[in-house]
Amino acid sequence: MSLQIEQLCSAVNGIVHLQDISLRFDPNSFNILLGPARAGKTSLLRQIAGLDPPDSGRMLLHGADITRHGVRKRDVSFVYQEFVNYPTLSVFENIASPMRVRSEGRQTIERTVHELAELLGIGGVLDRHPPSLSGGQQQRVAIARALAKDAEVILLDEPLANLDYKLREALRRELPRLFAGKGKIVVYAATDPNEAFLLDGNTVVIDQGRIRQVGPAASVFRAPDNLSAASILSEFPINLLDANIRNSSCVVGNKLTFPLPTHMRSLSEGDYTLGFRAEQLAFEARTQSSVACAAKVAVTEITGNETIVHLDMANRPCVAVVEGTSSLRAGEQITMYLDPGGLFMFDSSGQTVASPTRSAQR
Amino acid sequence: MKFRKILPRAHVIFILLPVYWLVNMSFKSNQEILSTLSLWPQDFTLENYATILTDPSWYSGYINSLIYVLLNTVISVSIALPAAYAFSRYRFLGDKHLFFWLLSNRMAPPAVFALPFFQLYSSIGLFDTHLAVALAHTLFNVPLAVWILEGFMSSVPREIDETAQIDGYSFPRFFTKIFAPMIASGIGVTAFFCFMFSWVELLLARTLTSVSAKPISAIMTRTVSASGLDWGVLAAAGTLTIIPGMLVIYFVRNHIARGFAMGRV
Repeated sequence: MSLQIEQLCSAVNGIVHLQDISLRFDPNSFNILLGPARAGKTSLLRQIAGLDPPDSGRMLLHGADITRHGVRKRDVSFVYQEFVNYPTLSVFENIASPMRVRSEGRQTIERTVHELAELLGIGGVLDRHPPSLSGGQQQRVAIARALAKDAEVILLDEPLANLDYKLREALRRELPRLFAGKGKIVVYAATDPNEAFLLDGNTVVIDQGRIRQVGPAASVFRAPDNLSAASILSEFPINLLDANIRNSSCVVGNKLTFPLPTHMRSLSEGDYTLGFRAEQLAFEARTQSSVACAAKVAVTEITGNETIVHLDMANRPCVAVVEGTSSLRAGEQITMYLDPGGLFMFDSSGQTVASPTRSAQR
Repeated sequence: MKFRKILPRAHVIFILLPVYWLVNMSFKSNQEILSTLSLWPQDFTLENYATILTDPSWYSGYINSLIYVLLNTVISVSIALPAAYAFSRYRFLGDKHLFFWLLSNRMAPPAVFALPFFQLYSSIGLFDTHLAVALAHTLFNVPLAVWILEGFMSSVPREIDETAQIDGYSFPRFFTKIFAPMIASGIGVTAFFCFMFSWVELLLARTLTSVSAKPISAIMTRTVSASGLDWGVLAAAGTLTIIPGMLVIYFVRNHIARGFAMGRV
């Protein structure tokens, strides 16, 4: 009993939107499609909803083939990024609309609408019309309508992206609770890795129309299968340097050479891409094996309790995040320390060949 | 008074002067119109209006005009609604060309079509019926209605259609319950434009009718009796002809600018 997608492909005007997507979503699961803009998240959601037909591949709901089923025959509901409600209907009628179409009884409709409105905190605005509401309230109406349909599959396409910061935080905390224990398959598209961590569901990392990795966000973060998954799950861009392994040493550019850390010992000699997250760079050596690297400050951004330092290291742009506020001037030559235990190594095709051990990560 | 206040006032006076003169005349007797220049009726009379409202050869003109104008408005809007929806929502072979070709129908002068319509309607027995004029006027009004409605429909996000489909609405139900109310002002403006063009059109209406469907505008142009022109009655008829247009424009006054921009604002 689940939603299964088998080898789904889709292209529009020769541009590939989805390439060989195979996934399985279980009932009572919260799934997050995580990827940058234009990765194919919306395309995949629209395919699941039946709004666009696939070029090839199959889709099964509870074992029944629904690939050729139109939108109205599919048991799905959809919440758009830009709050879509019927502007000419009151909030009450908006939420009631899927039940009205099913010709439910008047009492059932009234009871369900009031329950959902209470749940979403829009009980006071049922008589108003959506355009007169705030963005947060409008999106709550859209979510309430999606819940009112009581569909097996609930699709949310970046539902919080158009909300301001505070509302986004509040609604994000409520979302998992709304769907919990109802036996629904929830698929939630997001661009922000923080959303994947906070919503804490099964994360599907998608990029350029392909699935890069599937698993809980925390474990994808710890052990990304490839460069793409590693960079999508980093809040700050992942730092990448060209590296070469020879004589049990890692050589970066012509200034930086350090002995291979334990988790890279098994790698054969050759060219690789060295990757590390912004948090791995520090002003002082954290361990004895820390490697000192020369860097030139390009820009510093102070966010309050953190400083984001953009650096030029081995002729590549790098980002470091350090605690506190630091007063570095642009162009200043500094020494940063890198813990080799926290390094990733990717081969030329972008596959991860070495991930740091768990204890080496922050 | 400042110059910038004088100018708009002068403008309004210039525009309203002929209308005022028409209304002024309609309340005068023929003798007063022809003998003296008076700025307002010296000898106020309602006789001209009484003549029109009691004489069937006069008031039937209004009834005929209203029948074919309303008939035309209903036909034009109901044909244009599905057409505009298709142009707004679907991509099909030659859609852009077809859309432009529709408008190009309006580029030919109506006189071009007077002869073929006259011959066609005579041979199939439609001549001198309200339907004949109503159908002839759709030639101009349907393209216009499609263009205006397409503009209004395209400003409704496609996601609304999709959401309704997901909610389970059938197409007819979605169109009447959700979509039509959202473009209600567009439908109103479109109906107004159809009404207006059909109401003021003279050439086809006169050519395609003789007695039983004769429009008011044709009656007004043929009222030269043995005793010369009946000035007062003509002025009253003119005043009454302005009124329906004024009423209709009152209801769409807030949306009319968007209508002139073909809904694309």
